[in-house]
Amino acid sequence: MSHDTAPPIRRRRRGRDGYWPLVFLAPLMIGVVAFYFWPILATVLNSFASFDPFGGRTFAGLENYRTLLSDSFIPRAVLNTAVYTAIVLLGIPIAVGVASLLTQKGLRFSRFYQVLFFLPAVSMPVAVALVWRMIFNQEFGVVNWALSLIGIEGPYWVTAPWWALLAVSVVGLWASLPLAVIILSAGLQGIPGELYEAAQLDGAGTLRQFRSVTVPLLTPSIFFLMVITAINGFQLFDLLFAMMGQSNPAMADTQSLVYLFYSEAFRQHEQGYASVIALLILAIIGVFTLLQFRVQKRWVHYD
Amino acid sequence: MITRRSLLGAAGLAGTALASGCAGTPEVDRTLGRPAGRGDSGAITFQIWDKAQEPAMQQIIDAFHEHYPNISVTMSSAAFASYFERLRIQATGGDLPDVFWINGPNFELYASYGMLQDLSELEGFDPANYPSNLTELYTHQGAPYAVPKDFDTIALWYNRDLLHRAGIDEPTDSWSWQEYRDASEAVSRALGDEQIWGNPGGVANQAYIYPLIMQAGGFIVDEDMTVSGYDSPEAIDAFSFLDGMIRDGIAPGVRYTAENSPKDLFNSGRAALYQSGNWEAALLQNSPVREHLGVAPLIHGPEEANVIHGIGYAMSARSPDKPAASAFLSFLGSEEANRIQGAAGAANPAFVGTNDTYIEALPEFSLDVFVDAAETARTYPASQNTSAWLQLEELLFPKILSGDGQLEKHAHELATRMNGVLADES
Repeated sequence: MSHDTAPPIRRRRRGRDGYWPLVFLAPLMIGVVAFYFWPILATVLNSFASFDPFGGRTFAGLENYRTLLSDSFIPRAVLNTAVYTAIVLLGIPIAVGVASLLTQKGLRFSRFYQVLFFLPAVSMPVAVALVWRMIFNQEFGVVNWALSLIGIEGPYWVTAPWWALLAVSVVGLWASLPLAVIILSAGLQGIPGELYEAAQLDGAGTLRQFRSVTVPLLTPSIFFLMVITAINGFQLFDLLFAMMGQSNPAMADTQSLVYLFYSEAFRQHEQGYASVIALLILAIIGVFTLLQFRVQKRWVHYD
Repeated sequence: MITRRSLLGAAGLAGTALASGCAGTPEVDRTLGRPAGRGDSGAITFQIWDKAQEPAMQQIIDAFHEHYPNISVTMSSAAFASYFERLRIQATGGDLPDVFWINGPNFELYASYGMLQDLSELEGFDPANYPSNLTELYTHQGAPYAVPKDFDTIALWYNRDLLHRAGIDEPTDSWSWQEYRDASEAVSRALGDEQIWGNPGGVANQAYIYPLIMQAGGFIVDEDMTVSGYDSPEAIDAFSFLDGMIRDGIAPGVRYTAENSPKDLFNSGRAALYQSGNWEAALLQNSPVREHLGVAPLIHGPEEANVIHGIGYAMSARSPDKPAASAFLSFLGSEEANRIQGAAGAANPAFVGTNDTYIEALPEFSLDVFVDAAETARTYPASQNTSAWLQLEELLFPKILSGDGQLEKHAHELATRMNGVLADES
């Protein structure tokens, strides 16, 4: 389209449609502005304020940001959140394997397996967390019982530092599988059968087909999942909260960023400082996602 | 599900930002005025957090109706876990219930921000009718802002059977720390093979750590509410006493008690001694080992010290119907209402001289121990933003007792962080 013809076309279109496009967009836009843009803006404003517990605000300048730099809980929370996210991301390769097995032709009971893999997605997160807490119980838990069969005395999974983070991450990984398997299954069904036939004619075995046909053509789905899973991972809260419970000696060393946000906003009555933590989470997610979009050009194949 | 959560958090903040724009606009009339008369009509709301006490509260409301047939009281209850988050939102929006329950950790916050009605002028309410260390909890700048409802003190629950099996006689009077430790050790050594502990350890604040620090001669927060007592030598003594029992295998460690609560251990006959309050009576009367259970006065260290806490009934400073709310509030504080709540076994009534109703309602245990303790007990420690340092306790008590050899360092961190919270209070 050349430069001299484009503007008239656009102008004519606007004239013909009037304000109708805006009217149709409004329901969505109002929601997005009211529940996404405005809260983000309000959080930015609040980060410069000091709050009293009943909502009164006074301007506090950069004080909340200074608190962030001197808060000894923050570095550990960033590390915990990053470790959790990294472990949950490991679920994606697992999901690729599971999804390709589930979509194999002629697999018996494939529906049944699909239901099994989808179960975590339809269970109440808190109920699931409580069940896992029992599974990981040091004295009566099934994990340590299994370990004892091979002569290993299991650790206190949910009450020892690092072990607790590992236990929460494993459950997080497990809970992230359903979405990944569904998206990857859809991606797999979108791969044309001819490609496999062609690969077979070229003499590729099952493994080679998987590596050279399946995985490259799945990369758009995998990339999408990586972005979504990482964002979810950085927002770790409810699983941690429900699995670790109160008076947990490992909690001070296992806090996530959102957990810190929660305690500052709702327990410490420090909404201003909580806003700064929220912005830190936003910044980390933003940078990490940007990085992913930069790197994806090197490994994601569209068609 | 994640986006919804982040959205809620952000929306919550935005909501407070919005609300702050409109809250506090009308000037509040702080005078109480005269209460409603017998024939006056009115309608008020009443909010509580304990479902188990709803029947007793309803009985009190019914009795109130006999005196004031034209005043309707609408009761609502919210789960304790979210009660104070809800109350804070109600207060922010200028929409507090007319009359509601409040507790020690939250009282000063609401009173100092002008959310509560000054009750100095409330007809029929005489603070002298309640234990003075309890009314002190609900006094702000010299004036009462809540009517004491009930009280809890701490004592030593024991399992007779387990003590006897370890060759220990049950306590009849207050034990010293050493006697408590020796008895715990005897049981843990004798019955440890059956997974039975002398005492079930834990990190309970009001029932365990506060009294011990006070018994060592220390304090939790000083009288001016500016200094934390957690790094004082006395507090370290108390922490070391608990840490020593864990180290020597007399009490279970904090990792164990985080998974197996002390309450459950004692209730199921897996611990012989359990320091806790009279609120346990309702649970323990249904314990599978209840015929072995008894209760003795609290242990003592270099000093004797117990902690008293109770719920209070407060009135919103912005209540649109203060005459009706006044009439209801002074009835809630009356001997009649206290007798009803005691006889229902709901809670140990605050009105001095009505405790026999509660003691008789739960004849399984000699609960008079708790009533006797009230005379010398110290007021539950609280400051303006208590909830903030309660969370720090929750986070750092278990670290202090984690046995990692850095007890003093963690206690110091708790004190430093708590001092930060106290310094931020206005």
